Amino acid sequence: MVIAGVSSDRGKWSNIMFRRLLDGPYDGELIAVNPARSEVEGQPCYASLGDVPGEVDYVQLLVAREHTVDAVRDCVARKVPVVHVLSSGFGEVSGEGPGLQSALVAALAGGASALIGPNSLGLYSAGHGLCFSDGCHFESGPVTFISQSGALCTDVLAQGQMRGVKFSKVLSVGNCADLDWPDYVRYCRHDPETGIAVFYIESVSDGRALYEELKKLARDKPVLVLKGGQTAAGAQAVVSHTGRMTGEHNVWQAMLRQAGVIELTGLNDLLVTVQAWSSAELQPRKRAGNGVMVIGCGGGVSVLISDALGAAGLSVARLGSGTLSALKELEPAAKVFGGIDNPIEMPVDRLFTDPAKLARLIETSAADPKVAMVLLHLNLIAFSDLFGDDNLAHLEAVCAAIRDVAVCIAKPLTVVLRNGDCGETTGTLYRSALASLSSQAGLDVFSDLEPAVAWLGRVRTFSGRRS
Amino acid sequence: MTAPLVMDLVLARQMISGCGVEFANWQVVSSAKAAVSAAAGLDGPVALKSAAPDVVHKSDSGCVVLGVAGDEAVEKTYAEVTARAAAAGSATPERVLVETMTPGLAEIIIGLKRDETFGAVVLVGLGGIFTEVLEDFVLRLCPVTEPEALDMFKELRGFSVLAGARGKPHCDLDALARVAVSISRLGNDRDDILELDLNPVMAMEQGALAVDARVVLNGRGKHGAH
Repeated sequence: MVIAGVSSDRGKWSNIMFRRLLDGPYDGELIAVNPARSEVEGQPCYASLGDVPGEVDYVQLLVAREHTVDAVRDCVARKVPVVHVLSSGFGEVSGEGPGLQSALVAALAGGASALIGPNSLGLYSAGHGLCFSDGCHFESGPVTFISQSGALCTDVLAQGQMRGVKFSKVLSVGNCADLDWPDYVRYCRHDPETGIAVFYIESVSDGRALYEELKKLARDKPVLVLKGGQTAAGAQAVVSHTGRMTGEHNVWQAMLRQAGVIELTGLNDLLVTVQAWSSAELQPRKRAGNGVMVIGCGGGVSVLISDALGAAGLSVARLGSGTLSALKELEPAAKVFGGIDNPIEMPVDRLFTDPAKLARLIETSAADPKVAMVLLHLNLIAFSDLFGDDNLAHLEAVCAAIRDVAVCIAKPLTVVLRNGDCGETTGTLYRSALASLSSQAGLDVFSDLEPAVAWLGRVRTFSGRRS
Repeated sequence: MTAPLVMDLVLARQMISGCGVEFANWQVVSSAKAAVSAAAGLDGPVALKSAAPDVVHKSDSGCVVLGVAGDEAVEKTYAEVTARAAAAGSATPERVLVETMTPGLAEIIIGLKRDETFGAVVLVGLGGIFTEVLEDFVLRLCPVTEPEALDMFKELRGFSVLAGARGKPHCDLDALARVAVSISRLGNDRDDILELDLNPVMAMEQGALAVDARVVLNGRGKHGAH
């Protein structure tokens, strides 16, 4: 791997990137190129790519904009398979930028090199120990995130890893001057390390090719897309009813749906969905049916969850009489709503005081054939009030019981940790429980009801389509 | 790019009929007398619509009159429609379309739009107020198969209106789906079509009849733009 344009100035981005690779887990050969230096950070530095001995697999270009075209020509001459242009100031700016971007593409003509970028933040690859930011780990997982925004790469990698998501790759694609979305989507289909593909897309030059590739990828793997950016409406006169109703966003939505892709509604939706999906993906479980068992404390909350389930195409499971009597024997204080005996609604002291009993309630409910999934909700304010100074230790005992029962029920178990953002105590409880529960593959954890229910609806959609 | 052009109404209907879409019986006339005789040859009350190629928003300018019955009424309406077309700026010879009024179980819109990124997109929706006020419509990239077109109708929030709500008979969904398939193929084959509305298509117990068509071309096509 070559980094071209490495500065000896420790304050410069190219130097920071170079040192990060030197100090990080990347164990391949790393070569610096800079015509003004013979040595950088104690490493030999070559004047040009032509001087670098041996095979070059991958070049990251951080050279000044005006030298980029020449550097790409050097890469093409050396038959470098992948040229990754991190330099900016091309199609994303006015003035000379767009012309220089065309010159970059022209420099590839007739060669065997493919170009990522320009205006790319870089690449995170768990397997290679590559990253574009500090503070991440390199534990590999099923998620590949490819983004047209570099800033979102940083956010999703950091926030995702904090939530227990393990990434295979995170790639900032920049302006897509050469390799474009259809290529990246196709790559995800062929990459065995990609189990879940997540894309942030702003625009694409060949929409039909993107559609065809998304459709093929979605047949094999879950595909989640966040579409950002609304371009100005075309100059076409719109005189028909159809024309008025087919705005850009509507067409994108229709395309994503037609391709079998899950459309995400925002960054938060992306994070919670990827978190849930990646943990589910680690331990694929059978998700047969629409019935959900709801267990928790807070009557109105259970009622709202039941309503939301209906809106998401799911339902509150009707329990069999055997299950009902077993549950009542376990916990006579359990209240039931509307005569349907689900959700189970219990005061917080009854539900969470004895973690073993909570586990048995979950296990007994999940054994009912009408129950396809279990949703447990926990109010952290009530929890912290009740267990006082012991709350953190007690919460860990509850989490341990939930982890254990998640393994033995073999049905999806989703936990909603409510009110984790209400002050310091609940915040500490939330982070502790999130870390504890996220360590168990197959457990889905949410901080709010709506994304939890939306997630369950999507699980059903996807497993339904696959089966 | 050449400016978009509204395709001549008669040519638009001929093009769409050529794809297998059925229209309610219609005829174009250029005198009151011919209008009366055309109406007499059609069943029941008729609609009179100005076919002036140089009036774009015909309904808005009063150039469309529905439910006209009897020779006298037809003659009088012919005069009104042509006068309103002239008032709306028409400088072309008088031309009026006389069409059978078709009672349907539901009014449907089926349309096309050429999207800059994805090309031809087909739309189906419940017509009238449902389409724009309630935004009850479904889009797909063209072309679609008949099962895909059926799914589009089933995805409409107001699908029950088509499936025999409140004891009304079921609409012929297969016929509606076939119209959507034909229109989607047209969008796929003719890249000079920017926009197309069949609005409404009358959904019936058996079959489906288009009663109005509007087509916008990009002006580069060879097919009968004015």
